[in-house]
Amino acid sequence: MQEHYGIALAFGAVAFLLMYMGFIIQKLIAPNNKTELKMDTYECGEEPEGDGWLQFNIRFYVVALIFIIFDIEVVFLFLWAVVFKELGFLTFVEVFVFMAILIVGLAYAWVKGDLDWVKMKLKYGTGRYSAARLHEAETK
Amino acid sequence: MIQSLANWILSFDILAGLGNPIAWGLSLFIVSALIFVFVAVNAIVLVYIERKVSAFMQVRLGPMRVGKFGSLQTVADALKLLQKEDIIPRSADKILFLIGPWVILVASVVTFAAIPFSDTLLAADMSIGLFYVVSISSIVVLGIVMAGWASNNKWSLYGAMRSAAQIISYEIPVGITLIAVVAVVGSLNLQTIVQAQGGTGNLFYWIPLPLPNWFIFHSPFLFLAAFIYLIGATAEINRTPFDIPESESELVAGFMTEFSGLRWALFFLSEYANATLVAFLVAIIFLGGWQSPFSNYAGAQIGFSILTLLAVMWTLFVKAKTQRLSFYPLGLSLMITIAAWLFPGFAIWLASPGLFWMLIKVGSVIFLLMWFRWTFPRLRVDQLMYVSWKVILPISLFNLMGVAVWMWLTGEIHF
Repeated sequence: MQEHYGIALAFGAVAFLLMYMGFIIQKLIAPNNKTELKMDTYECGEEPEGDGWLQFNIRFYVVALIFIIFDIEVVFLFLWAVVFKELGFLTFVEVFVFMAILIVGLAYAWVKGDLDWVKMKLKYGTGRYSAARLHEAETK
Repeated sequence: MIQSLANWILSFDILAGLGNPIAWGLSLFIVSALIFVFVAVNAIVLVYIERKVSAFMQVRLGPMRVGKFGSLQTVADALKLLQKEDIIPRSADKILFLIGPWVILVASVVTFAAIPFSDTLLAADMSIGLFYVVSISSIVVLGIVMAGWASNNKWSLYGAMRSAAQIISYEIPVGITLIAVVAVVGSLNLQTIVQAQGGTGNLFYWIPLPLPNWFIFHSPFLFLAAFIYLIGATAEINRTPFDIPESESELVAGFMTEFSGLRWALFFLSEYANATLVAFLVAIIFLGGWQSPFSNYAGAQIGFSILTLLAVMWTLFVKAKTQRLSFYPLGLSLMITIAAWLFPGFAIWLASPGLFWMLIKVGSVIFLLMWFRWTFPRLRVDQLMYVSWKVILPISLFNLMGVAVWMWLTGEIHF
């Protein structure tokens, strides 16, 4: 049984080796004259403004959190699906309850507005997403 | 497959002294090298086909200069990439910058180990094959984040973060639709999943329309699941209309911006390897894998006759209205039909399972992916998240329950 994963490993190793031969050829025939400008970060021809490692919007992390919860659900459901035919009604009900709990979680995130990418409903939002501006836009 | 290749090597008198372990190792090397060559050649051919298909969809000619009908264009492109200078930006994180593309490439090649090309062509017959493929193919996102972050470039970072958010969002609906199929089969082994789709049955169990027992015809729920899977998978491999991580018009090239030469080619290679992998999975899970659509040779004859009839109607009623009449589909199906009626051996070959049918199905799915590209406009980030979390995810959860109830209604399981 374990030999299958060895086969998969060999696939990766051989792909790496064969592709690496291409890199050796590249090293032999490709030009190599590095200049100061060439090694610069690309920013549409302008001189790069500050560091590339910016701070990121929190919504990416919220999506990642919701993902982890549901991914664990998926892992558990895979196990259930394999034995579903043999175990019958009881597991069906159990999984239904299990999924219902997670669906409640999804509904909670939905109602809280964590699934909205653009948070237009922010009560204390500023700028063009502020409540006053939104109200203005709706009444027009 | 590896053991039978080893036996074949040992069957030669000169090589018989090698012994089984060495012969096995040798055939393992041959098989993995063949798979890599398949992935590489496949990418080169697919790039050419994609450029031609795009060109024809936009009424252009596409590449025409290098080779007959431009057929050597991508080979020339690959040679050009080989001659490009290998540049690592000064401010980049060197180690991650070097590792990133390799992670993506190795992850997408390694998944092919568990893919059954036909009933005998299979490198590793894993009992958890489907789970293995799904989990390994999602390692790609790690490589993308590595490459994007290491570039120390704003475009790259935006592309990588968008890509990560997109891939993990669509991972869930894809997983749940696959669970629906696993519940029907009761096994994660890809070979078992294909074998479960043999023979002919009614459409959706009750509608008396004799169709192959593929899971796409199993129930309305799995029919829907196939489309959900296709949408989710298109998003997971970052293809249009879900290509916001590398959308040229806003992010230059997304996480690939700082990469050049062969390092950039690694991304390209793995992108097409992933597209092929998704096509293979759609074919295996929903379209019967290497199973033939016909149960016997009479079925093949009648099936191709119906196909010819459809081609005639297509040519008469749809194509005749346009200026450009094309008789290729009609001619091809007519030729196959006549051959199938004249030579029973050919019809029997058509009705037998094998690599041929697998490749036909995979090719059709890849063509569908190319078709998507020139049909749907690119989605915005918020639309993308909306589709994933608020449309596809609830539908797929409902689908899973629906499949379970359907199995109970049709008597596949008893409570």
